[in-house]
Order: sequence, then structure tokens, then C-alpha cells
Amino acid sequence: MNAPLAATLLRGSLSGNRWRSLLAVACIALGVALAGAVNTLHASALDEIDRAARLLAGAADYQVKGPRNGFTDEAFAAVAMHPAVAVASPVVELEAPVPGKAEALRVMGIDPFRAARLQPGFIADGAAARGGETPALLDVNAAWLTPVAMARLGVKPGDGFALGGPAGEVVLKVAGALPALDEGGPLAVMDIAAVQYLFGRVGTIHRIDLRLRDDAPREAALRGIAAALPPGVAIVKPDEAAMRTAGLTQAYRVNLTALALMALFTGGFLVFSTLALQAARRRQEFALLRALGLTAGGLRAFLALEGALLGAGGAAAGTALGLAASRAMLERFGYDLGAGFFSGTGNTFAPDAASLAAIGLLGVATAAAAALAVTRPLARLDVAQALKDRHLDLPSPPGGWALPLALAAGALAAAFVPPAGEIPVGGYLSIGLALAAAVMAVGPASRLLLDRVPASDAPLRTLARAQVKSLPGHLSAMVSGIVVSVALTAAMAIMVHSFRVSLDGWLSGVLEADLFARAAPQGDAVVFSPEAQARMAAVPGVDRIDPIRFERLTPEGATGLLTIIARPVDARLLRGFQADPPAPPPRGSGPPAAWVSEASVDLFGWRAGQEIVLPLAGRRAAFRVAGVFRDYSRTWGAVLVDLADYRALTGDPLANDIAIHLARDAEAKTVEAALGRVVAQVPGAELHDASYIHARALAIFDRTFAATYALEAVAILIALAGVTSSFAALAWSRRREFGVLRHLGLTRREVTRLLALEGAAAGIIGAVLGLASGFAVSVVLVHVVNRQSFHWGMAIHMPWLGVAVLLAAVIALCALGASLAGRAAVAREAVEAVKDDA
Amino acid sequence: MRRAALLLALLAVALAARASDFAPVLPGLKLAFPRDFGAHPEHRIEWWYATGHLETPRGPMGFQVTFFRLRNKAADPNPSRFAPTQLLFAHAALADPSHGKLRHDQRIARAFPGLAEARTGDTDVFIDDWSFRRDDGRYRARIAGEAFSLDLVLAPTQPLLPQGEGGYSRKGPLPSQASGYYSEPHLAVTGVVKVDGQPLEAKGSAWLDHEWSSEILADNAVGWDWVGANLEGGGALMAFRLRDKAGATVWASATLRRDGRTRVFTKDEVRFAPRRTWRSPRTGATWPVEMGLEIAGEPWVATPMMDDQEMDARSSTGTLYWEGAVTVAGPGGAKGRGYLELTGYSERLRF
Repeated sequence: MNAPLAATLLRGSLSGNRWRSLLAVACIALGVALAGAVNTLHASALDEIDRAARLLAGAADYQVKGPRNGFTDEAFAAVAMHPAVAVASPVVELEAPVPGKAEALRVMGIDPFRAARLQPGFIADGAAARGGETPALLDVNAAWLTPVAMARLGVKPGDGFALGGPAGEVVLKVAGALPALDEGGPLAVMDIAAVQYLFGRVGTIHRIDLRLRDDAPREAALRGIAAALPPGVAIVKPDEAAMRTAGLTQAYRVNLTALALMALFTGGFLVFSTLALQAARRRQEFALLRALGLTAGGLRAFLALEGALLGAGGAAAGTALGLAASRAMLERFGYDLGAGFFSGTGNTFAPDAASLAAIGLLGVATAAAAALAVTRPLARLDVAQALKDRHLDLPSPPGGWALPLALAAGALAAAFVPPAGEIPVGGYLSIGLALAAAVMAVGPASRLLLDRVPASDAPLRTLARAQVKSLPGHLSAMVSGIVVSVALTAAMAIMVHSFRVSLDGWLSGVLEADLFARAAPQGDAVVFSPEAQARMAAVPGVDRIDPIRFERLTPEGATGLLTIIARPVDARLLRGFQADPPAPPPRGSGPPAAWVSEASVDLFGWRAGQEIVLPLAGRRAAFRVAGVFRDYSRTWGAVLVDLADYRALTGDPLANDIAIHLARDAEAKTVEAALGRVVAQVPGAELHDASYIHARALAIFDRTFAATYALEAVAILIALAGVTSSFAALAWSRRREFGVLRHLGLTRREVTRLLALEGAAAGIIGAVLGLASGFAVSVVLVHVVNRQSFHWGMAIHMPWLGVAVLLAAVIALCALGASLAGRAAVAREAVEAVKDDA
Repeated sequence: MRRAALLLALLAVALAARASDFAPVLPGLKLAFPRDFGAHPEHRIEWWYATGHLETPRGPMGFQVTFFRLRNKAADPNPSRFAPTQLLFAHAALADPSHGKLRHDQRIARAFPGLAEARTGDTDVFIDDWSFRRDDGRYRARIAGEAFSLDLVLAPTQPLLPQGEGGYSRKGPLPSQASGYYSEPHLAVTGVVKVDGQPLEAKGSAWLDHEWSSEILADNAVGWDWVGANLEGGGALMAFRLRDKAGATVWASATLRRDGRTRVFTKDEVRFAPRRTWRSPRTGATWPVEMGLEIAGEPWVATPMMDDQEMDARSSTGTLYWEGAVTVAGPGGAKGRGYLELTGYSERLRF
């Protein structure tokens, strides 16, 4: 086929189906936009983290890093004196709350003499050494701020400002600006000794930036330095920071990407049904082309090109939409739509061209694949027959159960395929196969269902039943569209609902105390000292307090980070955490007990009874795994240990949070007020009751999934619009049949009702099959995809009301769409319609 | 009395406190060794300052190795291991005529156990892999710079030279305006100089100053002139004066070792009389680069090896000074090689 002819044909076919084509494009665009936006948000966040890390690391080629709460600064001399080390720069790092604002400022304590050899930007344009100015380089209260930090705090050089510290507010003075570090985000740089002193971190550092000698053998140097480090402290490359963050957000991305794939899949089906109907309508046209010498292959290529064009349109629009949306979301909510993983400046916008191109191509490929599926039967087109015949239909779907059952078996088997790396490929494969099985089951299932409908005397019902039961190809394509969109929507709804109900129940168990005090809702500079803890315990009406201490570290023999939760552990707490077994073991002479989260089981391969070694406070501490607990807040893994064991091992008496149990007869309001006054002495600390925290956690959950809900609604609306337009096209092509029915004495109303009945029947079949396969998909999502990417277990909970509304809406809209389409088709006179065929 | 000029920015930090906060150097000071080879941490400032000449396969070279210690009392309340209670500064330079340019490098650090310290008891001062230590009666200087490195042994060939009254070197009208000060002239140097990745065997001679003080400048002094030289035949000459704004001498002193005998000259016996000035085309400052001296009526003269030995460190430490190699000539054909230092000719040194 030559190009001008192809162009003419394409123009004709696309403009003749403008609305359906647009819908198909919109659906592809939606999928591409969503996937593109998620990818861009994530790429931007990682880019910002990466650039900030590089900027602050300067010429450092390695970093020594330890647990989140730091490690002993005695390790510094050993590292700095290693013969392979050219420059070693110690860093104390914390996030200090800004009084009166719900935010924290990152504070870096450095040794300017050493840091400046790696990153000259740490020294404020030589101001410290200028004649006439008071040299503040080593002043204990001097802080140098990046311009973005000064803007956030509303201060300028020379101004005083305050930050929250563990012993009250720390009053500082802006000694100068650090414009060279502005891309590192809001940041205050101080002398390392001053930060240790003012923020209660004497003896602790968090990082050592290193530059190795060019002539030192790397491997030996790294081994040598690592050997000089205390347990739990490791030497890494600076760019591994971004990779670790990537690990933290994996689960979140998987969720949104699954959603994007769902939109793409639905879009593919719309493309299929659009092109299928067109192909059917244009059988004569195609037959003519064949008669004129076009080969079957040429015809298929032409249709595939048409599909690819629709896909390309969708991909282009979707990419543009995705970029615009991610840009807007970045400005409005930050990198993660407010989920709280990142705390950057949000001014890095770094779309990844390669990923966006891949996503766009996926959109094009989906549409082209759908088109190719349409063209298969065309190869068998009987040219002579088709030239004469204006009868419209696609080949009927296969009628047997063999294929759908085989696909379903494949779906079941795929669910047990282990994940590849961190990606649950088996789960996704299983979902794809389950959907395919549902689509292939449309034919046999509709026959099965309609056989159960008793034959009726009413001619309309009989007609409708016969029409649907014989299930011509076009109806089958339409029902398949309904099945897929209902299945995916129902699956997402069931999964999100299951998660929400499980989270709700877990929160009720975990928040077993009456009140909770948090030392640092923002940042980590503030902790509860033993004195503050004692003051809380001494408030009249308080039965007991459970101090909670967090630490983040890398367990021995592993690479990933996990969170240590140290708090008093008893049977009640374990039940709240849904631990298995739900009771602490008897105290023996062996290592202390630890409970590991489901994520730890998946990521570190730990089992009950096993001994694990955690580097606590620079020492190897052995624990015996007593059981597994559920943790819906940390996908990277957590270990629960008894506070008494933790304190005995570390000597660390501080607390990040306090769970407060009131005496049974206490006057809650009075006690809460008294506690509030005690907590208020710690800057930035907050006191809340359990129900407030519970409600807030659920609100955050709902906000995170708000995007999911909105996109689901859009996807199903587009799918239903596609179904309605399919009916319209179908009704148009059945004018002759309607004319005959009118001649036989049916009124227009009755013809319209006939179509409504057909539509409802198709809707019911599609909805029932869709719900069944959607349930299967949700089981895979909950037990395979979620388990492998979020690493936590939950039970299936059906959102009955939502599902019922969904099904009712689908059936009603199918009936409505069909009758509207029918009304338009029978508007013309019956005589004319019959003549039309002559 | 030597090149503290480099340090003024840090000095200003350390000297934010009053002089009376530090242990004063007082008349009657008795040097005691090896104790006084080591650091004097309760005094405000201290330095070990070696300068010398080397013969290498590439020809003659000049070198300078300096370690400063500064006490910062403001950091005393801070219990942190990183608290900058003592600051250390090291500077090294290598003058290599075949290279045409002065190579130099420096290190600054706060004292940190094991990493940067000025230890008491004997000479042992170091910042990372830069060190100056006394061991078995000899000094060893190890400098690992970016463009060059030095590993030199400096061995005494004669008794050390206490300055002033047995090591008590008066700097102004008040008795507390003084330093503890001794020199080691005619140190025999052997070792290795590494330039462009190439190790060179080196031999030569050097001069070492070790000085500590809490109050180094009188209130009305704006700068100083200092000269120190190894004389042929084992003699040594050191002379300094502090000037006021008008250029008049606030305080002066000289020490001359000749024929094995050492004599100290007081303020009234020492006169500085510039013989020729040089105006820097870069900074516009005028330096008395050829300095005439009259010590107890005898004329001496220090002649620069070259005029342009101005050090402009205003962008880094905020100071401008002249420091360079000179030849010294004196009565009876006395000849020697040494260093001349001129400070405070562009503005008052900020103390």
C-alpha cells in the first residue's frame, strides 16, 4: 500500500470514529500520564537527594556512616590516621525543630578546617578572615545558613534565631551565608564542637567524609579502614545515599505503577474494541482493497499502523500531561504527594527521558498489540463473501472452557513465582493471566449464565436472550471491555479497602496506651531526657510510662537499613502488634528476645529461634528471634526489643516517644493538661491521645490513596464511555434488523427496550465475570504483590457497599447507553431502514 | 619573634580574650630541658619555626617549616573532644630556583588526640601526616604537601641559643610583654626532598626558633622587623625591633654568638636603619628590603637575595608581609645567610 493511500484511509477511518478514537487515545494517555508522572516525581526526588549529597560531600569519594543515632567520635582519629586517607572530615548531623513552625532545619556540624579541603563552599566567602569583621569561625553560637534556609526562617546575616534542642531552645546567630551550598537545601552549618555541645551530642558523630590518596590501593584501603570501625559503622560511596532512599520508596512506587499499568491495560482494550468495531464495519471496504490487490499482510500492517497511531497520540498527550501533572504536584505536595518520604526543597525537576520514552513506547505497543489482535480474523476474510455482504460481525469468541481454565491455572501457578530482585514479576504475570482467563471465559460464561435464565413468553426478553446468548463477536468484545475495567477497579478497591481495614485494626492494637508524647514530630534533634521522662511519670494520675527509643542501623552481615524499636514489651503489646507468638518467652540465660517484622523476615531471611547480631552503641549485641510482628509503617524492616535490654546494652537512657498509661480512676482531662505542661518544657514536643494519632494515621492513608481513588473513577468512566459508544456503533449497524422488527409490529419504545435489555444482560455478564476475576486479582495483589513489595501481610476485606455500587452503576450505564444508542438508531423510518439494505 | 603574621586571622580568635586570661611570661624565666622543647599550652601563642638552605642534585634550595599553636580559651566550657581549645597551624615552603616559583602548602586543625597535637615534655607537634618531633637529640620534620614533600633530620651542632635574659625575651615596656624564646642555629640538615614525584637527597643547614608568649605586642606597636642568620665559622646573629605608628622603635633586642661566646644587647644598643626600600608594584606597599643594623656601635647589613619576597596573604589570612632570604655582612668580614622579616608596613597588625 502506498503512503498517500494509507494516509487517506487512515484519515477516513479515524475521523469517522472520532469519539471512539478520542476515548481510546484518552485512556492510553491516562496510563502513560500516570506512569510518567510517578516516574518523574521519583526521578526528581532521587536527583535532588543525589545532587545534595554530592554537593555536600564535595571532593569526598567515600563516606563512613553508622546508625541513625550516630557513633563514637573516638573512631574519627583511627580513620583520619589511616595512611590511605588524604582528608577526613567529621560530620554531626541532625534535624532541629524550628520553634513556632511545623518544620525542622537540617543542622550540620563540621570541622571547617577539614571540611573546606573537600568542599570550599563550607567557608562563607572568606568573611571569617576579613579585616575588621569579628571572626566567628569558631564561635559557639555562630551558624552559616544557605540562602534558602535564611528565606525559610526569615533571617539575614547578623540576626539571631532559635532552634529546638534537647535542653530547651538553642539561640544562634546567623554568621554568614553559604550560597555555594544552596542546592543542598535548607541547611545550617556550625562548628562540630558547637553542635555536639549545644544539641547534647558530645562524643557522637554521624558521618566521616573521606578522600583517599590517589596512589593508595583501594581495596586494601577500604578493608583497612573498615577494620578500624566499630560494629555497625561502614564505609560507603556517597552516591549510595540516593540508592538507599530509593529502597525506602519502592513500595510506594510499585503501588502507583500498578495503577498506571491498569489504566494502560484498559486503554489497550478500548483501542481493541474501537478498531474491532471499525474493522467489522469496514469489511466491505477491506474486501474491496483486497480485491484491488492489497495483500492480507498489507491490510494487517495498515490496521496495526492505525492502532499505533492512536497509541502514539495517547503516548504524546500522556507524556505531556504526566510532565505537567508531576510539575504541579511537585510544587504543591512535594515528591511523594505528601506521603512523607522526602523532605527536600522541591525545586528539582528532573524528568528521566529514557524512562519516559519507555513508558510512551509501552503505550504505543499496547495500542498496536490491540490492533493486531483485531486483524487476525481479517486474514481469513472471504473476499467474495464480504464484498456482497454488509452484515456486521466479528468472529465469535471460542466457546469452550478449556482455554480460560488453562489460563486460570497459569495465573494460579504464576502467583507462586518468587520475585525478581524487588519486583513481584510472578504477581504481575498472574494478574495478566487472570484477566486473560476472564476475557476468554466471556463466551462460555455468558452461555452458562443465560441457560439459567428460563425461556419466557415475552417476545422482547426472548429476543434479547437469543441475541446475547449467541454472543456475536462485537458483543463479546464489548463485554470483555467491561470485564477488564470492572476487574481492575474492583481489585484495586478490594486491595485498598483490605489495607485500610487491616491498618485500622493494627492501629487500635498498637496504640494501646491512653496518651502519646512525641519529642520531635519534626526532625530528631529533640529527645526526652531521663529527667523529662521522670517528670512525666511523676504527674498525678499517670499509672506508668513506656519510653520508646528508635534507632536505625544495618544488621551484621546485611546491607539494608532497619529500624530498632526499643520499648517495654509485654503480652499486651505483642498482641497489639499482632505478634506470633503473642507472648514473650520466659527469661532465660541466653541472648535477649527480639521480635522481627514481616519485612525483616522477607528482607533479611530471619526466622523464629534464630540468633541475630545487631551493632548497638558500637558493640555486637546478640538477640534471639522470639517471633514475628506486624508493622504497617516500615517497609524496610524493623526489630522490636525490650527497652530494659536495649538500655542495658547501650547505656542510652533517652526516649523519642513516650506511651502514657493513666491510672484507672484518673480524671483524663486534668491529667492530660498537667502532662501537656510538662511536655511543653521540651521545645517542639507534642502530646496527643491515642484516638487523635489513630485518626491522623488513617487521614494520611486516605490522602496517600486519594490519587488512587480519583484515578480509578476516571478509568472506569472512560471504560463505560467506551462501552456506550460501542453500543452506539452497534445499534447503527443493526438498523436493518430494527427496521424488520418495526415491520413485525414492534414500537420504537419496544426496540429501545430490547436494546436496554441486551445492554443490561451484557453489563451483568461483564460485571459478574469482572467481579469474579477482580476478586482473584485482589487476592494476588494482597498476598503476592503487596507481600513482596510492601513486605507485610493483611487479610482480604470486601468493600461490599462500594462493590455493589460499582456493579449497579456498570449495569445501569450499560442499559442506559444501549437504549440511548438504540433510540438514535430507530429514529429514522422503518421503511427507510429496510430499504437501506436494498 | 617570628612570622606570626601568617596567623593573624586565627590569632584574632584566640586573642579575643584578654591577655590576663593566659599564663604570662615573666622575668626570671628559667629554661629547663627537655620540658621547654615541648609545648606550653597555657600560653596564648607558640611556634616552632625552622628555616634553612639545602644542596640537592637539582641545585640549591631554601626551605621553611613552621608549626604554630594557639590557645582558644573561649572553647574551654565545651566538653566535646572537638572543642577548639588549641588550634594548630603548619606552613611549609620550598624555594627551588630551578622551578622559579615558591612551592608552599599549609594545614590548619584543631587539636584532637592522636591526630593533631602540640605535646608537652619534648618537641612533638603534628597535624595528620605533618609533624615536627625531637627524638634522640635531633629534630625530624615530615611534610606531605600537595606539590612537594619534605622528610628532614635537623641535628644540633652547637649548644642552643637562649634569647634575651636566659630565654626571657622582653617585647615591650611592661614585664609581661615578653616571650620565652630560644634558637638552635647551625642545625645540620640531611634528608629527602620530593618534588614532581622525584625524591632528591638533600644536605644543608638550618635555624630553628621556638617561642611562646601570651602578650607579644605592646599596645602602641604596629609591627616588627626581625633578622636571624647563621654566620660563617659557627657564629649566629638575631635582632628584632617593634615599631610604633610613626616608625619609632618601641622595643629592640639582639643576640650575637661569635667565637663561641654569646652576648645579648638591649633596646638602647640596637638600632635599625633601613638603607634601601622597594615598592611593591602589586600592593603599593613600601618595604625596607635592605636593612642596616647598628649593634653596640658595630654596623651590620642584611641584603635581600631578591627584592620581591612580599607575601600577600590578605585573601586568606588577611595579612601582608615581607619575608625572605638575605645575606648578612658585619664587622671584620663577618658573613652569613639568614632570613629577614618585615611586618606592619601596610596597616597595623591586628592583635
